[in-house]
Formats: sequence, structure tokens, C-alpha cells
Amino acid sequence: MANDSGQPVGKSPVHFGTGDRVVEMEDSEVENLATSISSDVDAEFDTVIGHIEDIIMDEEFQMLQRHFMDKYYLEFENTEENKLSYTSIFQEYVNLLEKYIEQQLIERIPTFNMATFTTSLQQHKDEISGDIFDMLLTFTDFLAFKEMFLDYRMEKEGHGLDFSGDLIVTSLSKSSSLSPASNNLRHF
Amino acid sequence: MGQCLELSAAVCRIGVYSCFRTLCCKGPPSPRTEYDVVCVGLTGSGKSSLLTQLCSESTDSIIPTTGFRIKAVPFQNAILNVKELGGADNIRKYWSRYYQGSQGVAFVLDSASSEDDLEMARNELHSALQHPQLCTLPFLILANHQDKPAARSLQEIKKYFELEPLARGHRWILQPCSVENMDAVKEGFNQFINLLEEIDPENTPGRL
Repeated sequence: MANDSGQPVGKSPVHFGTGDRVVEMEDSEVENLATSISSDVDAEFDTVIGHIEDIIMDEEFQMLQRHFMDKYYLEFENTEENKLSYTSIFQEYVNLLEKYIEQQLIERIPTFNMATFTTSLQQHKDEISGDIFDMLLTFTDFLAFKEMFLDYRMEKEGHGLDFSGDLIVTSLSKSSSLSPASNNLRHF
Repeated sequence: MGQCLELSAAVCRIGVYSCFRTLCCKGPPSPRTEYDVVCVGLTGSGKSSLLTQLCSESTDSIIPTTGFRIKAVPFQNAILNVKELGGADNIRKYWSRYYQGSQGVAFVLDSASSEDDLEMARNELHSALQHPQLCTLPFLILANHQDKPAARSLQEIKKYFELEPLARGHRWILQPCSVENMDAVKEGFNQFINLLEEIDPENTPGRL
């Protein structure tokens, strides 16, 4: 960017205006102007992130996500190769859940603009907390999405695991003879 | 719909440094540029084998791909996030679903295949070259299986595939290679990366 005399901004006083009405700003004023604009944008960004946090923590979103995963989790296998079906499931997931979030954001912030937000997202990437970031990532990074399903599947199928072979049941009543080994179970 | 993709694209670009990709060099992430590449070709052309070898992994257990793979393949100057698609008859019709967001195309062909298969490969390559989502992208054409006696030469491939007229408007590289000669493969990819680097990053759509 250059001013009328062709010199870069910041190196000499900045001129605003045309013709007779030229206002000269010192460097520090330009800096202050820039800072105040960016903190407005920051505040707006933080607000949106705050809303996204609320939305994804809400029971409605959680249920939506869970129902979706219940529908498809059996399709996912923990192999490097991906089935073609994963792609259509991924697209359905994005359409369903990302749209939900967008709708919710517009309800909370009528002036919400997705384009403005996504630009801010890039600049503030270091400030987004892990949970939110992980969630947003599942909408865009296919492997994150797949990982989410694999984790869910493990969780679901984990409940079906049979631990009976790992447990030893020993009576602790006085009448039964206790071996030193099974005695330890009392502290289990 | 367009706005949804914007959010996706922004997070995707951030997510590029996430550890969810299988980075096969398994070292710490280094600040190399990343490019999204789609890898297609007929079944048996050697896509999975070449990519697996590039990641220094064993090719012993490779079987025909029936879906798709995503592999982050490291090179000296860049990392290529390769989406590799199975090439069997019933899968090829889905190739175009994976084209969006690609910045380059790697097409692998079996230089020693039958006439019929070679013709099929030619048709697929031409379709890809003309596809709206790929028609402006650089192409790396790997004429694989050069170690086999029946392998057509570089000149024969260039002529048969009508690369000079039909790849007009594309930047392309035709690299003869085989899994026995990974240096040639790497050379081809390094030249391909040069082509990818020539594109102005600001103008790259970069959508997932």
C-alpha cells in the first residue's frame, strides 16, 4: 500500500482524503486505529467461539451426533484402507451437523457471517481450545472424522467385552478356607 | 452450501498441521509445504505399491484397493497428501467424487499391460485431463512396470497416449519407472512438486 507520494504506509505520515481536505496521521495514530479495529474483530470472534462451545455442549447437538454415529458406526473398520461408503457418510455428517451449527449461530447472532468468521478462524487458530478445535476438525479432516467413529465403535463394543475370565470370586466367610492369595481380594 | 465449504476449508488449512494424518516418515512435523494430490490409474498399475514404497513401508501385504487411502508422503521439498483411489471397474466411476480440493494429479499406468488395458488407461487419462475439477492441474504420469519385458518405451507411451495434443493446457511430466527403481519415482515426484510450487498459493482453491 502506498500513499499519494508513492511511499509505503508506516514509513512517513499517512495522508487520508482527496484534494484540499487531506488529513495527515502520524504512525502511532495509524497503529492505534489498526489496534482498535482488530480488537473489535477479536471480540466478535470470541463471541462466536463462545456460542459454538455452547452449541456443541448442548444436549440437542450431542444427541444429533450420537444418533448419527449409532446409525453408521458398524461400517467403520480400523484399517488403513477406507471404504467408499465412508465418503458418503462423511458428506452426510457434514451436511447434518455443520448446517445445524450454522443455523444455531444465525439464531444467536442474526448478523453472523460465515465468511468473516472463517477468515478470523485462520488468524486465531492458536487460541481455540482443544475440544472445539477437535470438533470443528471432524467436519473437514476426513481422518479426524474416521478416528471419531473408530473411537465410538470401540466405546460401544467395549461394553460387550466379557471380563468374567479375569475375575476371581472367593467367599470371604469364616467357614471357608482362605488361601493367602485369595485373602488379598479383600483389598481389591 | 458454499458457506459450509468455506468453514470447512478454513479449518482444513489449519488442520493441516494436526497429527491425524498418517505421516509415514514418523518424524516431527517439519515446515514443508503440503499439497493435496489425487492418485488414480487402473487396478494393478501399481499405485498402492509405489506410494507404500515411497513411505518406506513393506509392500508384502498389498492387495487390490477396493476403497481409497490417504497417505502423507514426504519428499525433500514438500509433503504430498495423496488420496489414492482403487482402480477396479466398479470403483472408477467414483473417482470424480474425490477430485475436489486436489492441486495435482498422479496417474499411474502399467506400461506392460495388454492392448485392451492400455486403451482403457488412455481413456481414463483423457477423462481426467478434461474433467472440470482437474483440467487446470499439473499431471504426473508414471509409466510403471518398466522392469517387465513387455513394457512400452517412453516414446511409445507418449505417442499412444497422445500426450502432446491432449495434455495441452496442462503442465505434465511423463516418468518411466518401476518399484525396482524408486529413484526414478522420486525424481518424477520432485519434478511434479516443482510444478505444484509454480502455482500461486493465493489462487489455489484448496477446498476439501
